[in-house]
Amino acid sequence: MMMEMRKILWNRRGISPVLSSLLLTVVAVAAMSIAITATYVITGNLRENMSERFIVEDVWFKTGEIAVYLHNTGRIPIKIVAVYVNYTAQSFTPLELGLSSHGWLSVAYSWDPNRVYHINVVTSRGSQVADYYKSPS
Amino acid sequence: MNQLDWEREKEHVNILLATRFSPWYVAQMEYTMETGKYMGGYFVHTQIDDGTAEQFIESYKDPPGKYLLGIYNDITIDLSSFPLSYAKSIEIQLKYSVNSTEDYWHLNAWNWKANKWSDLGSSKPAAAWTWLYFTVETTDLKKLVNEIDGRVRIKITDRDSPDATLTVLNVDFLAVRVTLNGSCFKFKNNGSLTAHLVALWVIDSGGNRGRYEVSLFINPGETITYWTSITWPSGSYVVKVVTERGNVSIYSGS
Repeated sequence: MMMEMRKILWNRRGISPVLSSLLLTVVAVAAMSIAITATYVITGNLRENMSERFIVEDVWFKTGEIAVYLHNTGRIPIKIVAVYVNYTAQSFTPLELGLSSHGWLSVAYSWDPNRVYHINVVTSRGSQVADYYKSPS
Repeated sequence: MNQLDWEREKEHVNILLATRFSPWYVAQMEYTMETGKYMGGYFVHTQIDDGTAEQFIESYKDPPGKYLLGIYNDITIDLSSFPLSYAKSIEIQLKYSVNSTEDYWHLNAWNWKANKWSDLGSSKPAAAWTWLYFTVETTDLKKLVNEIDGRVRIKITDRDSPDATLTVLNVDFLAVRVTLNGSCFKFKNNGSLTAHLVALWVIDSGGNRGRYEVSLFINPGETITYWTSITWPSGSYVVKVVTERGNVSIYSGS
């Protein structure tokens, strides 16, 4: 028995290449797994940003308020964190929109009639939708 | 500029039509005289509300021993554009004037099922030679509209009036239109990318905003007709359609 084991262990015909190939495969798979996981983690934020899309459907100039109707057309929920009117941050009612949902974003602003306003809506991930809107006369 | 911006620039959707009514359909041939006589003008004068009229005059008929006038014409509704299945009613409008106030002027429509005239109502002028609009609406579509070719046969007649003088009738406008059971929209994609319409807004004359969710895909160059139960009050209105990419098209009507 001892002799047979010694024969196997010390037999140099074909065992080493198999073991080394196996080891190399394990190392390669492990390295790829680590690389994929790292890529996934590193680009996660980027993917979320790319999945985020929302549009402004309507802007309604009300007394002392600009109401902006937002529609989440992306693949991820969004949260509005800032609204700028003419490049100045304004207070607004908090708004979070789930997938395919939509709703009014009420921005407190005392607007003047017949003027053009640049409105910029910013999400928590930094996506922005900005455009010019003219107030009614 | 990113991919979305590029796509937004390439997208171009137009609203060709947003309405609750068909256009006014008018007579396309000369009126048939049942009783009375032709005096002047042509049927084309009854196609536009412009003060230029076609004239008819009563003639004496015995029995019943009265001066009578009865003229009729066929007006064809485009059923391929406005199928009866989407129609709620038809509206018939007559603009006329007469030299005498003694007659009642009736609008009749031919009942294609029963093969007889249906009286839709009457109008009595308060003053001579004054233009008067007389509009009637009926929901009896199946009977009064020929389902094969969309014809509506309209007759103008004076009745039940033992008048002693010859009355002259000026017909400035006679037309029929369909009132839809909701509304009809036509969109055209003039862009080079397929557009996905996600929302429809109707802002009426009172400033009320109605938002309606839609999901319509339009290929480049394609025109689609969209029938819906959306209604809004009469008066001027603005319709907006929003695409998934955030582009907005606007149509205003009244």
